[in-house]
Amino acid sequence: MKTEINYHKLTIPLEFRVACAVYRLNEQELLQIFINHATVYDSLADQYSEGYSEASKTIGLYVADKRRTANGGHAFSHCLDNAANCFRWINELAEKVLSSSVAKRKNSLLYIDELYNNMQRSYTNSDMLYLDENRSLNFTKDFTVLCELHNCYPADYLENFMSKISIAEMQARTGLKIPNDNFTMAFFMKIVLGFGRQNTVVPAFTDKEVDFICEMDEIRLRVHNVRSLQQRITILKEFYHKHYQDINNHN
Amino acid sequence: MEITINVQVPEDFMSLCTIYNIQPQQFIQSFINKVSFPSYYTGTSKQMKWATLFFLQYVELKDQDSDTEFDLEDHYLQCFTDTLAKNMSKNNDNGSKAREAGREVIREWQKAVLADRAKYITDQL
Repeated sequence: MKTEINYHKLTIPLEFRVACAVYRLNEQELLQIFINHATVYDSLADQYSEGYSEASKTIGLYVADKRRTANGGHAFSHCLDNAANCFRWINELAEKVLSSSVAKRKNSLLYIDELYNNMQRSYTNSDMLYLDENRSLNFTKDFTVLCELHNCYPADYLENFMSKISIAEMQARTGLKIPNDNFTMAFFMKIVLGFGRQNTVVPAFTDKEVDFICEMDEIRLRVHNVRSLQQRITILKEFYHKHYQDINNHN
Repeated sequence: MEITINVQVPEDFMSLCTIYNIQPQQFIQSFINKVSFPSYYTGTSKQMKWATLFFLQYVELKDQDSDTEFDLEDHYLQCFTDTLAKNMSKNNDNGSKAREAGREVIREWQKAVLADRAKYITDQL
C-alpha cells in the first residue's frame, strides 16, 4: 500500500501547544506573526530588524541545514533570468547602507510581486492553510516565494519554527547558564511580551492560574540541584505538560 | 556557632517589627533556621520552603562572574540529589535519614570549596 504524506496538513508539536497555553497565546496568531515577518529581503540583509530577522533567519537556517540552495527552485526554472535578476535586485537593496530597513523592505515588494506572479507554484497550491474548520493562516507573497525558492512546503517552515519553541528547554539552559543561541525562541518571547500582537490586554487570572504562576516560579528555582541539562528539561517538561493537561481537562 | 553581624536595618522592616512586636534578631534567626537544602529537597513542610526559595533566587541573581566553584557545585549537587533519592526510597521515615545523609554531602562540599580556595596558598609551598 502506498501512503501519501499530506503536505498541507500541519502537525503542531506538543511543546509548542504547551508554550502557547502557558502564555495564553493563540496558536494561529503566533504562526501568522511568524509568516508575516519572514521575508526574502530580511533573509539577505545583515542589518537587524526586530522580528523580521528572527523569522527570516529561522527559515534560512532550516534550508541551510537541509542543504537546499536557491538555484534549484523548480517554480522559477521557466523564467530563470528574470527571477535571478529579481533576487539580485533585492540583494542589492539588502546591501545598500543608506535608507531605512522599512523603506528597503517596502521597495523589495516590487520584485516579490514580479516573482510571485511569474512562478509556477508546486509547493504552495494556495495562499491559505487551514489549521482546522475555523482557523486558517494566510501566506504573504514573500512567504510563498520563500517556499518555492527553496522547494519547501509551507508546513515544513511552520513545523520547523514550532519545533524550536520549548519553555522547558529555554529555562533549563538559562538556569544552568548554558549559552542559548536559539533566536527563534527569543522571537517567541518577544511575541509573549506583545510583539506583533493585536490585543495585548491580559484577561484576569483565575485562582488556578495564579497558583500555577507561583508554582512556575518555584520550580525554576527548585531544579537548582539538577545539574544535567537533559534531566532538567525532562522535569520542566513534565511540569508544563501537566499544567497543559489540567487546562484541557478543565475546559 | 554564634557570629556577630552588622546590618543596616531599613525603615520598612523596622516599622513592621515594631507594629507586630517582633525582635529583629528573632526574626532573622527564624529565617536562617529555615534556609536548608536537606530540608527543602526532602520536602517535609510547605511552611519551610520560602526561606530556601529566597536563597535559591539570591543565588540565581548573584553575578555570574562571582567566585562560585561551578565544577564543585555540579559534582556535589548531583551527589546530594542522588543521596537523597537513594535514602528517600530506602527509608520510610519522613526523610529524616535522607536529610542527615544529604547534610553529610554538603559538609563534604563545604570542605572541598574551602580546600579549593586555600589552594593558592598551599600551591606556593
